[in-house]
Amino acid sequence: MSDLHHVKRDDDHGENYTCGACGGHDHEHHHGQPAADEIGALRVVCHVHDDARVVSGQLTLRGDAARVKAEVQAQLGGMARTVAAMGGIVGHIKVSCETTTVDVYSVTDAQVDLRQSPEAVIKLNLAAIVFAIEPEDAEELARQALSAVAACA
Amino acid sequence: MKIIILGGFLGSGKTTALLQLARYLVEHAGPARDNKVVILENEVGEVGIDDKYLRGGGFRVDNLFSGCACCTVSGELVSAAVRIKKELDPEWLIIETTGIAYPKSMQENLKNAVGYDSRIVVLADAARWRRLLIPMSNLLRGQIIGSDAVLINKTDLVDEDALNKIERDILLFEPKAVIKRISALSPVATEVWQAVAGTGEIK
Repeated sequence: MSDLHHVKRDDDHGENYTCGACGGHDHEHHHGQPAADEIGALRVVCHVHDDARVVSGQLTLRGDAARVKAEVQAQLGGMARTVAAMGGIVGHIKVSCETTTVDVYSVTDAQVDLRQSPEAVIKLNLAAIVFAIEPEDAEELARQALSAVAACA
Repeated sequence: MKIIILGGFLGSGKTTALLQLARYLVEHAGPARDNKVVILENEVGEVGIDDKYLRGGGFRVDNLFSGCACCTVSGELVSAAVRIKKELDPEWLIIETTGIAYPKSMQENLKNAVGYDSRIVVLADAARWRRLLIPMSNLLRGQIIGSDAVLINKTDLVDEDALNKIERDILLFEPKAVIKRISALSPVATEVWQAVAGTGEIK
């Protein structure tokens, strides 16, 4: 599993919705790798918030955007099925996919030339909130999913 | 600045409904203010997803990340609301909560800290209601308590008997709630947004 460690845990909050006044809710923070924006770097962290396992993931890669997006869809479906198979509940699992391509137009005389970057830079942000599974398992599922996406690019 | 706190469990369709609500409010806003609608987006994780989607809809979106505005970042919620009023003074501020937040707590926080009144609107997921009701009952109940309006979303995915049962469950949680049925992927009737905004005749 990952290099998790406990950072903070507050008093139990339970079902009392007036947590803003009491400062309650139940929080536990698990941290993975440091921030990484470079191509290929993967970052996944997990927090516990009351009964929720809150997973945040980031991956930046270079490759074929259509293939990456197809793999993202496949992996998200797989994550949801795995959570359910583990007896957990999916709150949501979301991935935003920001694709950057560069087109360069140039002219010296009359002819305008176009050069296009051969591959897209794709930035993926994953946000998952699941219940009733271990935080380490939630984090690992996200890490495996993003790793599979990285492998397909 | 009028405030709507838009709550509801994860996956209930808050962001999808928000886009329609924001468009309705912009279309029906008065001429007095430059900024009609500002959206304050709260996401409990470290990365934002929905804020990007909403910006793509052309709206001004501010963020509260890495915590829940009903508890861990409640102070930031108040600061953000005060800053938005001071700098932008929109006619409407829509606060989209995380799917695990308790809107009533946020409403009390805004009222007690800076005297801001707000309305609470909660989305209920008709498609998953039965599945979630028992394991998530405390959260679902806590989110609906104190709501001014509850929008049962994804009504196209369940039958009439299921919808009637959901309405009964909601009224047990909040007897005063105005309940409307919607499918946020389709155009929502004006009278629903009137109920949400607290304008017009509430039926």
